[in-house]
Amino acid sequence: MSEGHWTETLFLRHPEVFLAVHENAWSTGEAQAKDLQRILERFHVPAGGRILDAPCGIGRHGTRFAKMGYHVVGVDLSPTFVERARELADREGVAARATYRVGDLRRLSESVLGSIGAFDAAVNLWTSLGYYDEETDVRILQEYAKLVRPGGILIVYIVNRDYVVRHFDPQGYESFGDIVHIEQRHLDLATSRMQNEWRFFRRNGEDLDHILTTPIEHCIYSLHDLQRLLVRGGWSVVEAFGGFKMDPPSIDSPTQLVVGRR
Amino acid sequence: MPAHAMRPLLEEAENIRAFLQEEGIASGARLLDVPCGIGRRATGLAEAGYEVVAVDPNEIAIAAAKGRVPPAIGDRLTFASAPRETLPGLPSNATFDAVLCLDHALGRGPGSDDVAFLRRLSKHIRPEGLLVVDLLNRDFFASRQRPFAFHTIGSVEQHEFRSFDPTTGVLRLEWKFYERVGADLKHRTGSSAELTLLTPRDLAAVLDQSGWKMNALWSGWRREPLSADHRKLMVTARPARTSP
Repeated sequence: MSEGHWTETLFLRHPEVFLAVHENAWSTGEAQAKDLQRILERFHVPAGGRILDAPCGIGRHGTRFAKMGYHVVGVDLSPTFVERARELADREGVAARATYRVGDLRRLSESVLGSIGAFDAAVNLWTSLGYYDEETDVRILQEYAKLVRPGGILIVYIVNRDYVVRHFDPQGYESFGDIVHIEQRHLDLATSRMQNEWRFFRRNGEDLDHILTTPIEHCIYSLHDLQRLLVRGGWSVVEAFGGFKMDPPSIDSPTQLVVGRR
Repeated sequence: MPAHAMRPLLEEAENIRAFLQEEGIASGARLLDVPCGIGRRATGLAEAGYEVVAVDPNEIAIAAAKGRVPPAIGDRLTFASAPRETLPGLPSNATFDAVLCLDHALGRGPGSDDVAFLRRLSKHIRPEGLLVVDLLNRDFFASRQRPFAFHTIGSVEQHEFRSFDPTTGVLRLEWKFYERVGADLKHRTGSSAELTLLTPRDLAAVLDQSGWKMNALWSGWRREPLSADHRKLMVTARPARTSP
């Protein structure tokens, strides 16, 4: 990938902005991890088993898994997020069971050397696929497959293309702490690529001081696309849901969650 | 509501002219445009040959509109202001072939008495005349959660925040206006509005109580069929036969 890829802008050059997004979402991890635990148990991931959380961000789910007794390795592209994940794991008293390291999904098995076939489960959450091209996504799924033992599972949780089409909203606004995030969205139906522009501002009284503008271009998948992708990545699809609650998939569900078995 | 915030809601006079023409209200007919805002639409219709009386409660807008009337159409275009609770505030012998009540002029805030307003309008319609109302379409806002939009107009960036409460049918709109300075946004002004949105059934009842009979429903000036996919709800009505 070229140096100018948006992931590098957002996660490496200006990590402080997306760090605020992670911090804002931190509190949601508790309930989501509990829901995910039910899914792990349904697919026979043993209590205290080994979980790979990649990309892990600041360990919103990984550190919660560790608190439940799982052994967690988290990997993220951003040294800033990894450092924060370590701090939070330490604060939560689970640093012994949650290890965080810097790494690239495209070379995941190199980031977790010596762990081939070591994990009972891997999770890819919060629409962390589709950032590159489809062949790269297949290679990323193959990387997870190298690290998970036969019979182990992969959980992929991403935005649902059908929902985006049905409920398309061309502009978005979010505010967290003193950060304001304004989004202009375009979906190229022919390629399934979102071509967005994200602007981040810091509140200064009533004014909005500009921090960063970056294009965000990624591919979004429908459920059939995602299932086919998992198969190409070396997984058999065992079940698909609308989200963490194991609700059935639906074009009115903003997300989709697919479980693959190695 | 600032005039530039209303701009997306304004329809071009040409669309209206074509619509009226098909209703048999041709150039030369008498139109009442209330509320008329800054008079852009009324001016366009007068230029198209209609004889237009345009009234708005905003005295400042009316003073500005009066000052901008092109001399060539001065005899066909009359602006007047009147307090909202007396609109249109015209002498009882002023009658029209069509009354235009556009840009969501009903359901404006908690104190608005739509039945009384429409009843006053019914006193100024000719027996075969037509009332045209356009509103924001409740079903569009109820079925589409689009809580935010931004628009840029020159160096001004407008942020629009929308929240629709289905239990009351009230759409709350809030606008913030920024000036773009480099990539920064400098706050200049803000405003907000609460609009009560009606279903077609609600609207039929309001018309029924105010001396009108609903004639047809559309989703736009090009007679798009009624649909929850359109932002606009248009209705035409005729004066009820038995005047109370």
